[in-house]
Amino acid sequence: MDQPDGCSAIRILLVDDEPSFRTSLAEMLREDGHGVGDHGAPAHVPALSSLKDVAILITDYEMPGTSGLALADAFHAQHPHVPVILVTAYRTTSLDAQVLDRPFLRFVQKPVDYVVLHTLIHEVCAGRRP
Amino acid sequence: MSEDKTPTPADALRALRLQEARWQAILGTARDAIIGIDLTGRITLFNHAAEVIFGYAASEVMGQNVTILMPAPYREEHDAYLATYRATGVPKAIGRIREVEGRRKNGDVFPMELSVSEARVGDDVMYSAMIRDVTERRRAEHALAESEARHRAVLDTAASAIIGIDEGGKVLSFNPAAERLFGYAATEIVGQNVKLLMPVPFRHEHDGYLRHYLQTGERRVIGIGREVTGRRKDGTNFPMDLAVNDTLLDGRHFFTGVIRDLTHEKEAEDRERQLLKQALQNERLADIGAVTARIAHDFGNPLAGLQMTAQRLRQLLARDPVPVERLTQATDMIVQTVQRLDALVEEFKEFAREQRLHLRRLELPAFLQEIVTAWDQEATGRGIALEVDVGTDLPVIRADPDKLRRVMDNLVKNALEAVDRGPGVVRVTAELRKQERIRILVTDSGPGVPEGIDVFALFETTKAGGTGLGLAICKQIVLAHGGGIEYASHFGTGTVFRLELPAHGPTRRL
Repeated sequence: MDQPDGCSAIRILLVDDEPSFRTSLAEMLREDGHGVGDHGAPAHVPALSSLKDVAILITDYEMPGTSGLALADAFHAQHPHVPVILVTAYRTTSLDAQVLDRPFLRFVQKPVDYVVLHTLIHEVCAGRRP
Repeated sequence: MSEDKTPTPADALRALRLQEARWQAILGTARDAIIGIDLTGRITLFNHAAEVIFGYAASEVMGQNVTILMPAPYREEHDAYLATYRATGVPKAIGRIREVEGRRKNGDVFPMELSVSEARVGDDVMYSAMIRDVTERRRAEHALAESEARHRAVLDTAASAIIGIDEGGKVLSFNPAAERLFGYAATEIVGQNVKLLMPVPFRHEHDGYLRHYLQTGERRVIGIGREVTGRRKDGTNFPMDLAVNDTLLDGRHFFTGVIRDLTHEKEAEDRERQLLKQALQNERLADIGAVTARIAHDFGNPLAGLQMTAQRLRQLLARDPVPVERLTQATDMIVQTVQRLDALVEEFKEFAREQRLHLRRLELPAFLQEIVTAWDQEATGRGIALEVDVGTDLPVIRADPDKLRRVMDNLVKNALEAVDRGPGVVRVTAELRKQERIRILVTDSGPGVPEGIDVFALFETTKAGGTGLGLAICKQIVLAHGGGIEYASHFGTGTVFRLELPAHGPTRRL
């Protein structure tokens, strides 16, 4: 998956409260050469302003405490050029509407095909600086 | 030498004295009073036992008329009686044991058994009387009769059916309430095997139960009590509460069963269950949307995790050499996730299940102590003091022990998880409130419940990884018992969960 676009080895911030999903995805991304910081809840994420080298945020939608959408908004406020991928197991029309309101958001429904996700990561990474 | 062969008057006197001494010894050690009188009624003999019984010294009464030992009317009649006997020779007292009254020196009148015999020595007539003081015996007999009458009165007027059986199950007593309840007359059932009052299959099992208990001492009903089914003479069955007491008498067991008819309680219980069912059903309909979303989320996420881990396995297997340790980690992750899903399924099933209660008599102090003991290790591991303070005066309550244990386990577990790490305290207390209601408190020194959430609401949780089902199930169980549950919490001072249960179970509320 080595492509000459500067997206073959990037910093990815991954937030998901499901340990098996988070751990397995993080390890696969690392295996593919990326640097991954993974956290089980938005509250465990370090200060967003300090995450300057993060190229993509991948976050679950429903988590204890802060929702993934609130995290995405807060992150976007600090890093307006970094794309965010929102994953969720339960898609509703109201959530769809909220995603449509946020052009920096990409939406992926669980279960997630890794190849599809990895392709999406490349796509949004390559497109982050127009 | 001739003096040796022919008894001298001195020898005869000696022999006579010896004889006399023997009689005196017998008279002196006899336990019955022995009194001799002459023809006119004057006392000529008064042994030691007579002194003890009547309270006179022999020297006081010798030569006195024997009537001083009699109360009225014997006292007045005796002289005339003696005169009649002297004249007619028709005895009234002689040769028979009679029960009459005696009079002690201090004036006390007492019951005694009297037998009189007549002795004639030449023309001399002497009457001797043997007297036994039966005061104690009478008193014991009276006490026994009184106690029997009292017990009989209790049995006869008791609202509960009371049935006594022996070791073989044979009915020994069957009180009027039992007659009314079962429709048998006592005369029909006494002597029969008690299993006649039970429907099949209990009827066939009872002899075995009794034998098993007598052999092993292992209790199923005795001293515990339980709900069973009784069978009336007309063949109809009815629910009843049975408490059995075992009394050991002369090495043999006697069992007393106290029975309360639960027919009306059951009917009330059914009515209440129906109402409750309806309420829960309505609540459920409203919950269906939430349930669907929750299932999609709670099951969708671990499933997506499993799918991702499977892809991770595929990635690892493509490597050469295959990294076995990482492969093991990934498969462990699968196993753990599946276990979590399985637990979740169980919890959903529990929630979906109707809360049908199996009510038993429950000793609350022991029950709560047992709960707390089970959590001791967990508390110690967290450095939290787990305390229990339960009054010993709590009544036995009617509740479903398994269901109530689930509630208490949940509350104690939540409290421990709220404190998380010591130092901290979790305390379980129980007290009897007004109107036979039991209040159980589970208090923790944790951070308190955040405002604006209802912890009993379905899927509401403050815990990472919590399903929000636990307390919702607890509430269902408590409501089914006819009780209530609430909590008070203030930020920083901890939380107290208040559980109230009716001591008599759910039925008394209607």
